[in-house]
Amino acid sequence: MPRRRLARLILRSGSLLVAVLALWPALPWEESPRFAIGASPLVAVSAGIATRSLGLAAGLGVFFTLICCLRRRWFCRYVCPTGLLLDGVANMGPGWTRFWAAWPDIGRSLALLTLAGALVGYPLFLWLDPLALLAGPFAAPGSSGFLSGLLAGLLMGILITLTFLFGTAWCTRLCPLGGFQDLIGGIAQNIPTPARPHARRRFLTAVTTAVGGVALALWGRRAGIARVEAAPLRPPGAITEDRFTGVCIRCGNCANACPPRIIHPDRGGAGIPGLLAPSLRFVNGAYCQPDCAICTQVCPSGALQPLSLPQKRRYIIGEALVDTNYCLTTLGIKDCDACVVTCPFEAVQLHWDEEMYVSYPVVEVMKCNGCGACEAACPTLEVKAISIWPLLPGPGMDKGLIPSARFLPELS
Amino acid sequence: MAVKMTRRDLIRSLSASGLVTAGSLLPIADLLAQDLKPAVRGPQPPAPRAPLAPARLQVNKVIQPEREIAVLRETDVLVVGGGPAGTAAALAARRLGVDVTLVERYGHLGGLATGGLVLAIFPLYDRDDKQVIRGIGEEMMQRLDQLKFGIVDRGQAPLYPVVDAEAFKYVLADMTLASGMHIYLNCWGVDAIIDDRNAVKGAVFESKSGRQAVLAKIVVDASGDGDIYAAAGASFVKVKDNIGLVSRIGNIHEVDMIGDDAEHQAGATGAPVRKRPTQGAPVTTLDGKVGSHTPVEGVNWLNMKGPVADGLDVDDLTALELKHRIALWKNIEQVRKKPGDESAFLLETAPQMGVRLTRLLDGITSLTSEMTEKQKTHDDVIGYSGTYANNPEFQIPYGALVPARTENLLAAGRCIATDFKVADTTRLIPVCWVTGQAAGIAAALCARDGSQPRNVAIERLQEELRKQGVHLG
Repeated sequence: MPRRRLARLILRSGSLLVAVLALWPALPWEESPRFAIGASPLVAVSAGIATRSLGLAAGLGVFFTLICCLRRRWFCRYVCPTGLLLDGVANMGPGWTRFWAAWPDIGRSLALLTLAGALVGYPLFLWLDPLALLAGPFAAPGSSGFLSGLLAGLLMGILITLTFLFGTAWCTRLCPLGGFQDLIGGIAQNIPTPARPHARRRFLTAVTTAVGGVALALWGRRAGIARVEAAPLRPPGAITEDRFTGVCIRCGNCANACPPRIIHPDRGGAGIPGLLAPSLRFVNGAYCQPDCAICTQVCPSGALQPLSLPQKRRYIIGEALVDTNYCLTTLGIKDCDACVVTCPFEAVQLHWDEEMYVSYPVVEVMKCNGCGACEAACPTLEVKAISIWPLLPGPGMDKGLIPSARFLPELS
Repeated sequence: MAVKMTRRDLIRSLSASGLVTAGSLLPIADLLAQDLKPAVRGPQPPAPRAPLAPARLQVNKVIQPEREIAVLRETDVLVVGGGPAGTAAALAARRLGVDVTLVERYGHLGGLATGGLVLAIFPLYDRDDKQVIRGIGEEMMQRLDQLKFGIVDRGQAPLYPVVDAEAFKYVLADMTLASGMHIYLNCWGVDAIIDDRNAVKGAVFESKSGRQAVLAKIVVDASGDGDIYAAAGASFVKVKDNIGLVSRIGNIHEVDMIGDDAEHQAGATGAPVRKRPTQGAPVTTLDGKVGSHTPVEGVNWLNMKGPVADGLDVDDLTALELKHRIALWKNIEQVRKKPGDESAFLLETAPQMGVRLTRLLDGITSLTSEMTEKQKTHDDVIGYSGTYANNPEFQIPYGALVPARTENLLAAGRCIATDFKVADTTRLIPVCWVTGQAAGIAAALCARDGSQPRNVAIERLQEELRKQGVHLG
């Protein structure tokens, strides 16, 4: 049916073009990267379940989900820009397909694990969503360091390399979005049970997988809780650290959107579950601008909850802590008050300690939102005398549950 | 005559500050514009004395009777204060060929840069590490470049140079004497001289020669505290800031913990573990502060922020100076407990306390932090300040040196017209060079033309500044 194939090609090419423009971002609409990835049915549904909320950006994804219920792998065939790209790559490669031809449908298991994990707030393999993978490299050119850029494009790079060598293994066997469509397609088409062999075995496998997914997700959340003390600093609007590493799909939208380029893929500070998740680093004088909330507005999964500008101004990213053992003023090395003069909120003052006969910076907690201006300005070389740290659970709070949103009191 | 004593004082203090030893290769007598008069050792013949007019106690009030004050000198440009701003002003004015008189309260030149042991020459650079403060300050540093142990870390932005105080005193004595200006040391400016129209006509000084006057066409107040403009009735804002006391430690073997050490930069010991400090961390490991390096090996300088105090209150100043010295002695005892530093010693506590800010002038332009943060450009730009922390380099307008109303007067140095936030940068040594040099040139132009500082032709001022190597952008 050449006419239908032509229509498919035009649709998929169009969606690839739109996705590239949205993720670049080359569209004048600055929230477009969020909608580009939110169009994925897997992201929309899993993130919606995990965060118990459906944002506006998930609308398209939910719509596509409904179509996929009626038409088998409709998204793959008509929309998926990653699929089109990989088809092209596969055609160029040697096409060593024989060894994986007998593989089971791993993608379906991944989708099931992810959905089961989402029920307990930790959608396990959502970061393997093809749209999230496609977005990764877009954060690479603007990233501040070579390594950060490399990490941003890492997953998509691996995917392209594998597809070049081994053909369409990803789309047909591994992709969790594909597996998700198979799952829901199966439900809606209501294929009579007797028509399919080994129905009981399939059912038991699915239940086992789902239970495994819940267990793995709970482990992921526990790993997050255990690392709260050493957790990296997350961008504004981040949900609790135990869920963050699961809900974040590593798409790099936040890093790509950040004007001062302070969002970097984490290199393992939060353990395996936190690999490549966004963390803040205040280098080269860059800090979180008070008049910007764009990272929270481009996150498609809700790992960063959208904040309005007034909300963002009062949102506490972290707390500024002082280590007097490194302060140039305390040590008498320099007459420095860089943190004091740089703080946009006038929250840092030098305190004269009559007892110790030294000065050191003191941060007024009720004024500080942890923007990092002080850390960026502190002239010490390796260890900053003043630096931003994630909030720790306060007294009376569940162990490890960092409150996802603590705000400064309303400024008069 | 009074002049004779002053000259003797001058020579004495110059030799004390190392001129004679450091400059023994130079024919000193040729350098001196002001020379010593011949004198005989022993009892002196009676000399004419000024009529006595001591203060009188009248009904529990101390009354100073009206009296005539001897005029020590008449000059074109009088610069009050021989710190970074005052020396730059006097040298710049002298280069326009006018008669210049420089008066300094201490027995050396350089102010806080030497006597205050504020040895860091900061800020000099813009955000691209380009040096934006040049002119006379750069000339001074080039002179220091030629001296052994004179200056380190030159031209290595963003590191800033650190000078040796004695080398700097020597360079300033040499440059000012060679310029042919008149200098009076150990002379404290105590009052302004004004005419019927409240225009400034000179200043009154107190010294071992008693109270004397210098009459001038234009006065540059580089006293740091705005003593002369305050006395002349110019309006100003009084401010308080931290007052510390810098010291130098000798025989110190410990490298800087942080700061500029190459060893530390290279991370030879591996990156230290970033450890979460506790909120409101107590100062735990502060047993003996050692400061950071100077041009002289084995000698560190140790800064002190100090408490907020009134730099114009003799009680505050006295209390602090004594407490600071006691604290510094206790600190050196702590330093000596560290292995390797058993023979460290307190080389000197600064002769001058580190008074940061006291008075800020009401000028025809007041430089505000809104202007500097947005890098406002000024038609009457006279130079730049370098970048500091996240604050960018910024232009300094001539209007910040000119009092809003008082005539024949210019301010230079830390007491110019800025808000408190900007003053945190304009009080620093290189910026004082910039405002000093501009005030000196403007004063010389006014003295030559008989015009007012507020009416100076900005193009001519800027042309002269450029000729003298100042960066105007």
